[in-house]
Amino acid sequence: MNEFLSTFFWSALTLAVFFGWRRLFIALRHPILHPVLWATIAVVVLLALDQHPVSAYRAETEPLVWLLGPSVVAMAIPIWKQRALIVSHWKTLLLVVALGIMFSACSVLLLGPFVGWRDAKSLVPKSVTTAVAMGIIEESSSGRTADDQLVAPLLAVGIMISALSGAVLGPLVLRLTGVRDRRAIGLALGCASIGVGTARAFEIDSTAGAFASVGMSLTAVCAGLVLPWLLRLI
Amino acid sequence: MLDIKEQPGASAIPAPKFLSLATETIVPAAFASKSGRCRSWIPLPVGFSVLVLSILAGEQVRAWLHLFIPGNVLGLFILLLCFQARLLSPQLIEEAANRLLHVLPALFIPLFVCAIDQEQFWSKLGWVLLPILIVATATLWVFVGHLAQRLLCRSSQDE
Repeated sequence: MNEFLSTFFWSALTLAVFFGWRRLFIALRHPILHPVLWATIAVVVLLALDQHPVSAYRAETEPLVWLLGPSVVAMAIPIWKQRALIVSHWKTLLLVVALGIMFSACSVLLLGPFVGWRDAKSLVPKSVTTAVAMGIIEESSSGRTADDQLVAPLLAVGIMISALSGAVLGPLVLRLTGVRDRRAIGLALGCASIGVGTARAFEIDSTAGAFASVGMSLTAVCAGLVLPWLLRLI
Repeated sequence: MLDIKEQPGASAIPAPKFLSLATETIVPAAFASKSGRCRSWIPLPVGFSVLVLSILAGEQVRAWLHLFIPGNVLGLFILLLCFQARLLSPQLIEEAANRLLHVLPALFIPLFVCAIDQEQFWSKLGWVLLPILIVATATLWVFVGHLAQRLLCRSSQDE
């Protein structure tokens, strides 16, 4: 298969598997059937059956990953539509995001004695947009010895777990613990489970989606400013 | 330039199913054909080009200011500033934005497939970390959710 056909095939297959699962998810409405989780597992199984290397798959689906950039910018539309609500609560939003970042960092650092300090520190930006999180790790690793370098692949897995669990369990856990306000649900999903959580919030309604977009964007901005400094300090 | 909701003659027509996932869509009467189906006269590529240009602008700002914040997040803020300054109409990108938001979760799948492939991680401490990280993330949802709910309700009451 030539390069173009291969790129088209794997990108189309990924989308087809996702939308197939989404149909099932919409029909059955069970959170455990969330399409991102099962489509990911289905693609892993297909790659294994085809004995197709994951590194080649990643290169072939680059157009899909590239679309993440414009998709983040596209969140300007729901944010704009909810601007009156967002502007009226800007102080609250900023406070919630700042405290959320600190809470996330502290909860991960508590794992230090069990998994080792280097691994715990590598996981600190796990609830931050991938691009920012990787930048934070790179910046915090510079000037450290080889043994003390933070581990980017570990962070990638941490981000995946935060994001996927947000899509599958997030709304359920929030409902069970008494969080009913759609704005709060959106903020929680955006701040903790990045783009996947934000996409899940859009499935709830446009208000939750807009607050999730704001939560995710503000978390990226604040974490980009605060976490490199914090990781160098500890 | 007029805002979508402020445009005279605006009328609500049922949006395609995928649009309802992203946002409430109110389409101006001028956009609707006789059959009642939405026929946008602003082509999708124009909206998509504006989104890409916003990212490029964000990347440029990032390079100038030496920030960690990625170009797409800065691009989002630049686009909002353009809407505020009425340099751009949100209508211009609405169709492209809704379509992208519809496929957004699928775009993460290649990244997650690569993360699952980290054999070294899973064999070493993955199965210990998996439940711990889920609990840590769940605690974060509950903390942010309750804090936001309390503060948002209080500020709404104050108003």
